[in-house]
Amino acid sequence: MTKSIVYVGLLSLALAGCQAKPEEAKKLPILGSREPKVTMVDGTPKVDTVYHSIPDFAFFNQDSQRVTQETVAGKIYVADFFFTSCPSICPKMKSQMLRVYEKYKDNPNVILLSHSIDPTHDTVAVLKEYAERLGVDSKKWHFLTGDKDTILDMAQKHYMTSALEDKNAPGGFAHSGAFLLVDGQRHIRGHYDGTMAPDVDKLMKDIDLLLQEEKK
Amino acid sequence: MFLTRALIVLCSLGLGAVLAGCFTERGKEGKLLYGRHCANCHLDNGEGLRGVIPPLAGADYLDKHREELACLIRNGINGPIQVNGRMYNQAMPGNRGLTEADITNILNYLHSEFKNPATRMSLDEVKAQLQQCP
Repeated sequence: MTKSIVYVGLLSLALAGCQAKPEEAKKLPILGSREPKVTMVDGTPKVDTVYHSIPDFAFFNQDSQRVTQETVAGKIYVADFFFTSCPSICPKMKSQMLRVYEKYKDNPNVILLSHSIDPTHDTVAVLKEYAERLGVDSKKWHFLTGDKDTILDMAQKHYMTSALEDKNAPGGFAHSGAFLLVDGQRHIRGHYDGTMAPDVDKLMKDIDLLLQEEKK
Repeated sequence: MFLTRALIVLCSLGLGAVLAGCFTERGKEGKLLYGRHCANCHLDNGEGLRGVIPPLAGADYLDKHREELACLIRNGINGPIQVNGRMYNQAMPGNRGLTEADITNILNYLHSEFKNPATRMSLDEVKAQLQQCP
């Protein structure tokens, strides 16, 4: 009898050990491909890992202001792809992005970038009206327009989410409802379904983690 | 004798199962149709998207324009509308594939879930509205 109590006690101790994770384990991963880069330092080869990162970009926001990598330099940002006349998943995405906006609207280190994948229709004026209707601040939440192929390319190749022109899709474009979390070095640190509230809860937890990390 | 009796029992059991299926499906149909055709924009809880897409929950529009609702669902709407004192101007696409029964189910789902329209819609009322669409 006493023996079994000891065993149970030991077992629960062992299990408790499993659960307590060290603080370092809570770092978000860097998503995407990585390549070794070899440089010669003082005659000996030194290997660095080059992580996938978002290249330089230049788009216009709802105030006709240029938004580039400089706008987000040293800040973390959440990117998504949508269009204002989208009859499918966009309103759900935008209502979820509003939650992120409301939580971080007073934090200057968090920026939101919503790229229009229908920039021909979504001109600066259309985006301006959309942002005003949502009642959001254009310094925090940028609605971006620009060259269509460049934006679609950014989505596909660099943010690794799908966005395509598709005549059979509702509204003429097929795209995923993904939200991408990008750090101060423009590495993608998380990928979330922007139509699902629990996934967006996770995004906001990860933003808090990343803000801690960037502080160090 | 035994066989026929067994057959009768089996048949009635089968019929019962079919009918039960029928009723439960009916009960859920409004919810399913709402999820498929409305919730993307008006959201599951009917609150819409702030300033862009009008709410359905607690919206005065549904009672003020009760007689236009069936046509609105089938043909969509373009141009500005006022809901709860606020102007909205986002085109709503039509849902031409929906039958009269589907539209009735959706409207009654709005009634039971969001309390407006204030009273249920009958299939006859929906049919009459659809004959008068602009």
